[in-house]
Amino acid sequence: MMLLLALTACNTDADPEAPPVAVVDISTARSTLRWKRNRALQNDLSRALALPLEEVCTEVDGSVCATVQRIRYLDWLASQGLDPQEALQECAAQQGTATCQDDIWIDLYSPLGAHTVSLGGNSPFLGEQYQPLAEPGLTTPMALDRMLLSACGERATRDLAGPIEVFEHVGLSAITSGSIEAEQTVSTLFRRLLARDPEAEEVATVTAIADTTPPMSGEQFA
Amino acid sequence: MFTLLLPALARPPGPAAAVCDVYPDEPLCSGSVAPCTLCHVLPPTLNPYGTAVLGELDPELSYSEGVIAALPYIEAADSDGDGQSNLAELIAGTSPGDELSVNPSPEDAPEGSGALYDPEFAFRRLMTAFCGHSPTYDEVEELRSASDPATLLHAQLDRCLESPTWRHEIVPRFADERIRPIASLGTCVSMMANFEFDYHLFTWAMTEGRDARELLTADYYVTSSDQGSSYPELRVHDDSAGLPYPPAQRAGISCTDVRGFPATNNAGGQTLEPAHRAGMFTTQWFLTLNTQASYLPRTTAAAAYRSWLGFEIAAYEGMYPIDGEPLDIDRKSIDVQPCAQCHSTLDPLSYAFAHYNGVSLIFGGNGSYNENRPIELFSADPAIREDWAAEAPVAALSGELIPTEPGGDAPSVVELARRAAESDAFARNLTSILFEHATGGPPEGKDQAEFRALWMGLQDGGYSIDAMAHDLIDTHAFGAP
Amino acid sequence: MSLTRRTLLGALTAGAAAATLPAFAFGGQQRRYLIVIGGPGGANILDSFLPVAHSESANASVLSTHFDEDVLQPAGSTLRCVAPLVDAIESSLIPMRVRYEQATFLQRYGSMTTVMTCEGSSVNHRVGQVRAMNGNTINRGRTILETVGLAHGDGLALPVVNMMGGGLGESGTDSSLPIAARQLSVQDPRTFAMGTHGSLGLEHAPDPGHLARARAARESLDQSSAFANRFAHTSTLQRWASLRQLALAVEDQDLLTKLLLRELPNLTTPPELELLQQTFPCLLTDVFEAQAALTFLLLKNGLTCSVGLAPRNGTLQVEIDGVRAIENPQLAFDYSHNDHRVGQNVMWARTLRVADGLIGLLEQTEDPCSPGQTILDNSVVAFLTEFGRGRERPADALVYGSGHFPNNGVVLVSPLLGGNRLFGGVDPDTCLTYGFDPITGEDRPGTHMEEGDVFSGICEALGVDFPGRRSLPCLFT
Repeated sequence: MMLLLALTACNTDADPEAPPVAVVDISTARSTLRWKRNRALQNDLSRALALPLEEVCTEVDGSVCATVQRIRYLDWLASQGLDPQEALQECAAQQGTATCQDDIWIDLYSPLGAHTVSLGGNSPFLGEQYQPLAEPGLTTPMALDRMLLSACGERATRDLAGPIEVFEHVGLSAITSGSIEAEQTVSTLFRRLLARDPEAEEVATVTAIADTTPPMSGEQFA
Repeated sequence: MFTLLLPALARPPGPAAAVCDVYPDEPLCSGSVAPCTLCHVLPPTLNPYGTAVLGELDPELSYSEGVIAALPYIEAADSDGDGQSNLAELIAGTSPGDELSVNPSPEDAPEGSGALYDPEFAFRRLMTAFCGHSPTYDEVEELRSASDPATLLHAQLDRCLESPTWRHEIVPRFADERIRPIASLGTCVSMMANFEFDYHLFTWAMTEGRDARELLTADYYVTSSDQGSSYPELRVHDDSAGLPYPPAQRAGISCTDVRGFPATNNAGGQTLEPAHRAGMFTTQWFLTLNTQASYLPRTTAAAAYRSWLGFEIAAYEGMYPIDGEPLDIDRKSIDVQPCAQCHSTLDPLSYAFAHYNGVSLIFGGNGSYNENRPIELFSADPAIREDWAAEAPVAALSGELIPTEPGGDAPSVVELARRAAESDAFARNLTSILFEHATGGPPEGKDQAEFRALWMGLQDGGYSIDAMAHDLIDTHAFGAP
Repeated sequence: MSLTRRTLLGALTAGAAAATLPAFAFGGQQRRYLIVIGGPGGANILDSFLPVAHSESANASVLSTHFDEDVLQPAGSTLRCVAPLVDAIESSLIPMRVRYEQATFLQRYGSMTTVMTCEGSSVNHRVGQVRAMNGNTINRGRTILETVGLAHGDGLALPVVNMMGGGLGESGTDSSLPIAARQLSVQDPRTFAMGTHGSLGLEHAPDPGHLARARAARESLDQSSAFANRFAHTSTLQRWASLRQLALAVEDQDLLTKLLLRELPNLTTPPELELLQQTFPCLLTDVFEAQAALTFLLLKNGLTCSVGLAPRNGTLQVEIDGVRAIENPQLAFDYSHNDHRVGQNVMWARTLRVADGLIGLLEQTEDPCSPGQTILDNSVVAFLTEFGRGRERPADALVYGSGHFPNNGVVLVSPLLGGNRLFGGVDPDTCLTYGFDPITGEDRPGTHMEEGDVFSGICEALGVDFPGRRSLPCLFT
């Protein structure tokens, strides 16, 4: 999972390394780039690591880190301060049934999750937040790392249990910098996450993560 | 009782007009009107640029003529001392009178490969901005090997714009600040109005190449097709079956209004008959939230002006004062300076909205229309109601007086909205939404020519946001940041 | 203020043993703290510390007056308050309960409580709230939280934290405000701590040494990649690089452990949690209580100087004496539309109960920047709201609704102010408040103070200046 984190340098929506196909010269450059925000980050991690959207990142309290979905009744009750058990009871009581049958409460999609705001989303319906952060804030780097580490850790765990989807060498007891296994892992992730091949120098930089004593396992390196 | 023969003003009077006579194509005038803060900290206090203008005024000339004559003399100066000349700032769209307002990408910014239009960069950016995810390795490779990458870019954009991600996840976020939903008031229980209709109409008008002017001119509502697990389809509500009602049930719970009674059109539906509908200006949510119980709905008018024309009156933007205004029709003592500076524009805008209820249990529903509301509203001071009957306030937008409602005597929000939808400010404001979403920020100095071309293209292209998006991805602002 | 990693690290390193931090000087001033407690919906001053008794008004039956026996004045207090309106509550449309007496607040904090009359400039909730926070744009559109954060936040990890919603939760409109003084919006105080560390507590959290190596590799890629070289000139990448450094400094401070409000797997809770649970027993389910708990931890740990918290609009039910009842009605103070007396009485009780708990903690806790002083010694607690409520009622009605009304007043609690004082007054025959002379404090019937006066008074108390600030020396007599 160290690898994925290392590959998220410059978290913007473009990382063009190849020579441009065609170029037109203009006089000056803009001062800002576009921020890859909550949903795009979740989508990209889901696609790159072959994880269901809702399982990209789960927080320590069991809640989803950041996602987008229509607001369900239990989401609404949770936003009102009810804990999960109370919410189920309240839901059943309102429905006049023995158990709660959760369903759509607001027929609109909305960002949800503990790190939504830090990652550039806004919660208009449950949080009355009508504008996202204009630019990353102090907690953004930490929320980003939690997303990355959760996603990659989940993928590594799944690959270890098999079948392998991403990390071919996750089962190795030791992986060394400069090894073909390390280089393959780096190349795979560059392609899956950044949609490009790494430069040789980049491969060296990233595989050097594994230069530890005792050596990292394949899972730790992944 | 309302005369339609008063001379209409096509442009703001006074110094703002004079400035725009000299700089008609610069950002502060192009699709806009020069804000008071160009020359003032807060009127009448001058900022350094305003002071410089004052220093060049020729006492032999009229005030407006003097301003026109003076402006060229101070173009080379840097009145606010921020390192950028007054003319450079006017061209870049920043304030020459505020040292904290600077062009972040001035002409002498470092040059490099970022100054080149890069199809691969544009491809990655458009995928994230319009599809909500990055391209795959294979997709990038396909672009790199394409003989005509531009065609591939536009084909991909079409796929993004047709995706449910664009329609249901990305576009609605543009509306949050404009609709300002409050779930405590707008969901199944304790409902005063239902903001879902607002989102549906917004998304409808902004997608699938539809005419975005219908944001302000729609005489229909848009509903969601189902409550299923997949992305719902939107459709225009057919009034032949009656006005759209609020949801009867959600998550197995019967919906109620704020009093606990079953929700009806009075709270949570849409009460307006088509003749009085003006898209986002007249939804039940918009009127209930903003007008609430006010007699003269200034907040409603200001929200409409801010959300759809991009003018923040509190920041002295979009000022088109009307002679003789404000009447101070509701006796708020706003007819004296400095209040009158803004209210001479805002109050005429507000008169039209005074015929629509906000929160009301008396006239048939929240957000309903009542031609006689200003002279019947029971909670208003009788003397104020008498003043309205006697003064007969005339609504206005952008300095132009608004004719009466067909067949009635009330200023027409419908006509006001139609004119707003045709205005340069509306096109510019819509373009700003997409531009900022796609590039990550507002137009900078070097982007101004492209930005202007974009909103003019929107007008020429039938107000299709999809078409404008295609124009946008071809710009250097998008592909050569 | 320029919040660099160097200054941040310096302060944080010194703050490793927070109590040993030297008093932080700002042009000869100590660090001060602002706690804004919002009253969304219109907290009407006549239903708390400026009530009009029935017998005092010639028009009592048609104005929002209170029965004589319900208007209380604790011993030694120049301020008055309203008793729990038990009868009214039992006759309310919805069962509600009052869990706190206003008189208790005055008994505890009356000596440092100031009531200042004022009048808002809008009867729209959002507009009124925004103007309450920015003093009707008296300081370039900056909010009072941002203004104080800019003046007193240098070296703090999270200078400005705003947990309020609606217009009270909005950032100011001054784009020139330094980034470090911009507010950090906290949606849910119960989960906020989890966002203050990149890996702690995660199921797949890596070995810290491995994580450091990966981050170092990322830094290296950031500096050498074609992307980084191409866009190194952009403010976006420059800011992102500095944010990463700041984040490392924040992680070093272990805020997750310091700010966690509940026990979670693999994580340690702060030592103050038991105390907080005693003070705010519903903090896991009552977001307002959780906000107060987080406020205390932010201040106690020397992380923040400017905080906003407020009850929410949604209904909150609690169980008291075996009876389940509403403590926070729908729309908070705006429930007054349905039932003015009950809505105001319940919401004031709720607001003051949580405020009491927080102020009590601040009164017991040493200021991390000023040894020998408590946090409260250097704080202003300001109760801000968008407007008051209409003063009329149907003749002798006890259950009636009230509309939005600009005329009102605010409550300020601080040892930095004179305390136990009312500035301005109320005409009992109209129930309208009136203003005062800002220098002498003398009553000025027929005038009123504005949002900008309240903003200025708070700033003056906290030693914060800005162009155009009004002076209200009477507040300090």
